[in-house]
Amino acid sequence: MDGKLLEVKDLSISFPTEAGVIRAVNEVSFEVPRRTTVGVVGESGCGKSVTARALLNIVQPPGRIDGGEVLFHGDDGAGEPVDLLSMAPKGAAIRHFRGKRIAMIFQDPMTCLSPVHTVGNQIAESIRIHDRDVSAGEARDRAVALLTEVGIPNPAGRLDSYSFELSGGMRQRALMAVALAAEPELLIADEPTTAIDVTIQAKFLDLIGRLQDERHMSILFITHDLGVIAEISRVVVVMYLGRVVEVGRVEEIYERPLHPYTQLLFRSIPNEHVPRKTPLAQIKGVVPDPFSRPPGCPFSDRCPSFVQGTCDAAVPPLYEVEEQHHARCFLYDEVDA
Amino acid sequence: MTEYLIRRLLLIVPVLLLISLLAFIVMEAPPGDFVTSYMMRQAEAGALFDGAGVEEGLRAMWGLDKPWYVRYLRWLGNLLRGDLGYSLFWQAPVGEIIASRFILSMTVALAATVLVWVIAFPIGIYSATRQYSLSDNAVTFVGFLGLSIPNFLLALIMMYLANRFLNISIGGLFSQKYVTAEWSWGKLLDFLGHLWVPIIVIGVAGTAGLIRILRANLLDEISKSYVEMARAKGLRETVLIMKYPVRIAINPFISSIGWVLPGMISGDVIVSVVLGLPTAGPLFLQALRQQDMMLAGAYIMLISICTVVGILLSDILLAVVDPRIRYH
Repeated sequence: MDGKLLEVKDLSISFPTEAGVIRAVNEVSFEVPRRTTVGVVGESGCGKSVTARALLNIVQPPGRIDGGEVLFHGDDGAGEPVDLLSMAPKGAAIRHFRGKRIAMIFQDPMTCLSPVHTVGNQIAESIRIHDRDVSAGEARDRAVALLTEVGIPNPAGRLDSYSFELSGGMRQRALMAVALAAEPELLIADEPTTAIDVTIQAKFLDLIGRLQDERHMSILFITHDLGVIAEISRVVVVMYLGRVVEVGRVEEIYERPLHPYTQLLFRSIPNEHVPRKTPLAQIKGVVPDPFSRPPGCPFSDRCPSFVQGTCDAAVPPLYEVEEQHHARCFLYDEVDA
Repeated sequence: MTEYLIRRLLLIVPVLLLISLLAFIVMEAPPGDFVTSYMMRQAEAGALFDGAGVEEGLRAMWGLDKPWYVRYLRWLGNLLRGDLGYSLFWQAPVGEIIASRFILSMTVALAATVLVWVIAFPIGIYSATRQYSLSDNAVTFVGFLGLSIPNFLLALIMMYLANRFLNISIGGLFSQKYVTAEWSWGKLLDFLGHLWVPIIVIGVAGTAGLIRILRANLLDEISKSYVEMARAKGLRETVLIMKYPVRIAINPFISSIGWVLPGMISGDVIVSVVLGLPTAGPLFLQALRQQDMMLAGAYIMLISICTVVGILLSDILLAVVDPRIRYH
């Protein structure tokens, strides 16, 4: 792996509500290396989407970034990294990063594109925000090239289409063209495949892989779909209740999951090793609501390896169990020591 | 689009015919007719007539003795030829009486609408982009206040305050010396000096309402993904708010342009009475009370034509700005 492009350190985000403060993200740290895809996996409400937004400093009120750093190592690692969270969220400095160096696509391609602006308008806008010297005609030509690159048939004709005239898969591709217009170094994809059906999903994943090869960009891919993660990423970050519970290379995580949560997650997926008619594993209980989280380890109330007096006493640290394979579980206390 | 336009234009004809019939029926509904109320006024004034014979004579003279459908068709026929009829009370052609007043009504309503939009838009956008902040709550409070104070009460309060503290009388649209004068620069300036009072009175509730609606529409749009997407692209916050959510949140207003104006003209009748404005509203009220049917009918038809044409314009405008409408 090449040097790191983005480094998230101890990121914490909370949502003050009338019922109390929801700590959506707690001291989350991970790295995105250059030209690499990192997958973030976790169930709904684990904080993965709001983490993604924090990377661009676009967490919306009442959400609040309580602490941490998002360090961007630009210029091929030369020079000092810059902390994106230290910039004013509405200032000019952070806007130079948004779209230009870090682009983002969101879950629902239907609502991500404006219903009253043409696809071409939205692509050209992405180009011209960051490069005012580009003429309207030139931006149009580049938009056609982008639509061609993301595999949209009849790209010149599609420039003047509105999002509701495109199919789901085409919309997702058009969105991709909008995101890639300013040639970002990092693409954050928040559940991009969730709203499209499986056959189109596979084609879209192929497209992302191809674009990454051609453009040498890094991708942070957020999903709850373990199958998608396996297919696309080299590094996996597993999140549960606003914390990173396991990080490692994809082969290691899939072959030797360390955290009990990850282990159970993998056993809940049907595969060729599970004999037919044996029931799939389940994780007992449900994700606790944000106001009644268990003390200590966030997974302690559902964990089959729960140890009283240890797991409910403190939040375990992230142990480096193997080289570049970390897990947040007291089971690995001695291994690390 | 052309086909749609032609279809819509043709539809106006039956709609207006139906409205004219309904208007006629409504005006015929109260017991008695113009002669009954005319005789009553004469009796009040002390004039004594020899009962039935005079009434019948008057009815025959004014054509009120004919069956209703004959009178309706005659009225409609005149309308189609551009003749609004003859006011029995004023003893003058309706067109002459109503024209200047209707134009004044339109002017007041138009000025009030422009004021409402100019004030409500920035405040609505400001309020929505700072939801639940101190300033948003303050605007909301003032807005509810504006919505809940009846227009005519506001008019009375303003008249009182102006009289008490500024020592001026703010009724009417012209000063005494200009009321009957021909239009001149002096009269125009005098008119503008008077215009602001009804505009404020009529505009307050409209402004408050518009702020509430715009704020709600905009809050709906601001939380949508395309706004977040635009933000993630690096667009400046004010630019993105104006280009995306505001652009979509104003569609309901475009669709309401058509009936805002006629609504304001007919809605300010009481205010006009209170402020003594020489607009069409008080004339209409008077015509209804005197059963001066041609005059009342002309007012209703004028308002209806404004509404029908206005709605058509709104729909065309909406189709122009919103591609989703265009493609249906």
